[in-house]
Amino acid sequence: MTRLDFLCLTPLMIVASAPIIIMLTITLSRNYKVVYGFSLFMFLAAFLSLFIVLPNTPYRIAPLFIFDNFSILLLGAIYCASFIITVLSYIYLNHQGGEREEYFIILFVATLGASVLVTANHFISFFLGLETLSISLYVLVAYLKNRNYCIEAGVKFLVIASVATAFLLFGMGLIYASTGTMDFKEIGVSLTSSGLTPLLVAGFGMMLVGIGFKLALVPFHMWTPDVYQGAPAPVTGFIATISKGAVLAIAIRFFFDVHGYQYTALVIIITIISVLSMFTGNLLALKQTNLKRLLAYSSIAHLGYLLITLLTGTSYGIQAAVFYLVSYMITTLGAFGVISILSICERDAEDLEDLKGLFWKNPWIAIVMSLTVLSLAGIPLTAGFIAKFYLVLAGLKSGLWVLAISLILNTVISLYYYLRVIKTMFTVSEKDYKLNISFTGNLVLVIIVIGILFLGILPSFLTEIISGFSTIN
Amino acid sequence: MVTISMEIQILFAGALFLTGLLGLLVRRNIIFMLLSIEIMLNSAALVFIIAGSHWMQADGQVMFIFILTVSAAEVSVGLALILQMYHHYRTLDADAINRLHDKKENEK
Repeated sequence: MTRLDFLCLTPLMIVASAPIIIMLTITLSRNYKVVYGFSLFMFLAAFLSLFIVLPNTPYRIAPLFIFDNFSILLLGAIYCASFIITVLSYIYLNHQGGEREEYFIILFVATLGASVLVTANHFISFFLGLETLSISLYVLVAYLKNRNYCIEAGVKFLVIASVATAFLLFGMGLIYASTGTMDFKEIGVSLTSSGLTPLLVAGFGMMLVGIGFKLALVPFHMWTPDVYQGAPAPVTGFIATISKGAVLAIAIRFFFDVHGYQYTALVIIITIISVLSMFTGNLLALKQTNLKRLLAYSSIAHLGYLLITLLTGTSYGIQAAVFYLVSYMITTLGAFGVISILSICERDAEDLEDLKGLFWKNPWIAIVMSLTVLSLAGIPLTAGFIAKFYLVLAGLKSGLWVLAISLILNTVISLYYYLRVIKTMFTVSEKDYKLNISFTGNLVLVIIVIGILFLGILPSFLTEIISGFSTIN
Repeated sequence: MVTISMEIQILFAGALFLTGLLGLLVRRNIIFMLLSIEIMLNSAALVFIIAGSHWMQADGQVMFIFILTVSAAEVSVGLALILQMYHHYRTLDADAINRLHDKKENEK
């Protein structure tokens, strides 16, 4: 390995070293505040170290990793999201008793898995990153083991995610068997000469099943609402943003490297999955009274929208995907942030009833929640609107009329349940509860609000950064 | 020595995978479900061995070792979770843990 190799791996090494250091300090003495402060510092350091890597892009560490603008930008988004999730977890775990320091260790390991996933361009790094992410998520989901729901959600997540891994691995094996390489680019080259053989079709099919499970696309979505509801609110935020974002990033990279959009069979299958995900997600969300389940169904629909970018096959599609992912991350973190902050010791504030009359009790929190919900729905002046606009434009440029029209239709359907959340907050309620939100909690919410409005009003800031990358290197 | 074509070998791995999947769907005891998942993972690992020997590369075996390592990690976390599950529910029946679901019309 050369010096430059090490230089480019700095962000990953920082994230990998943090859990070891925390583990060693815990053996000496436990201090929740110190571990929390150290975690924040390390995420910040990892984020800043990206600026060291940036001048060297695109840089490939053969054969496993690639550092291009696409991966750097997503790494940045992942570290920012982890930072925010750390703050939310601190607030959330503050009124839980017991040993809470290990939570941050596992959070780092999960983030490491996501970072490997984003930079991978080889089946081995793909698999290792995915498993590092998934296995640490099993632990995080079931972390509060005294709540029954957590264990149930953890067991369900374990079974489903390992089945998904098995499918994904078998698919990878079949592709390796027929092409003789595990490198994404070389698979693409070998594919153009051989065409889609039955073995390859089976391989891609099984990989699609695996990725479909991980991204919770219809018909592999059954686990999402249960896990979202059972997991602690900050962990749910982690699954919804970082885990899904990283898996989608590697799916985009793989699909573009093998030029999947050139094969009619794949295009038809993904179109069907995308349209089904949009409609199923939104229609099932209509009658939900549980906020976390509602967000789970809405995330199924959002991932359905994001699948459009796979089929565009243009640089414009990649840019739309990155913009959508970033704005979705900010918005979803806002929603789960509010839930985490409102949660009490025994249970999460996850019923719509818990939000009733929130506007009259605490207008600030209600405004944050309204803004995130409006952004999820795609109302102008929020990040969600620009993201959807970008996506429709990318779809239309590539002639994907069916998908673009079903996206617009679904936006209308989804308005119903998003607006219901806002309506609930404005209804007068007799219930009395006191809220004291810490300074850091408020700060995170302010950052999220600024992010949503900034991307909604001045999207050119981000679009100029991402228009720099025309292809995935 | 009789050589067996790669297709036949992969079909064998596929049969193993289906055995695991079938076991997962039929069995309700959570430990057997975990075992079935292990069979599925190992059948996928077998495909990598087959492909590696077909292409005369070490990559397949490298992947095999990684799969073994990761599935060991997965099982250890899985067993810890099952232990917690037994503490809470006093059962290993997967159907017994069903408190998380969509609200029906008639319940509140």
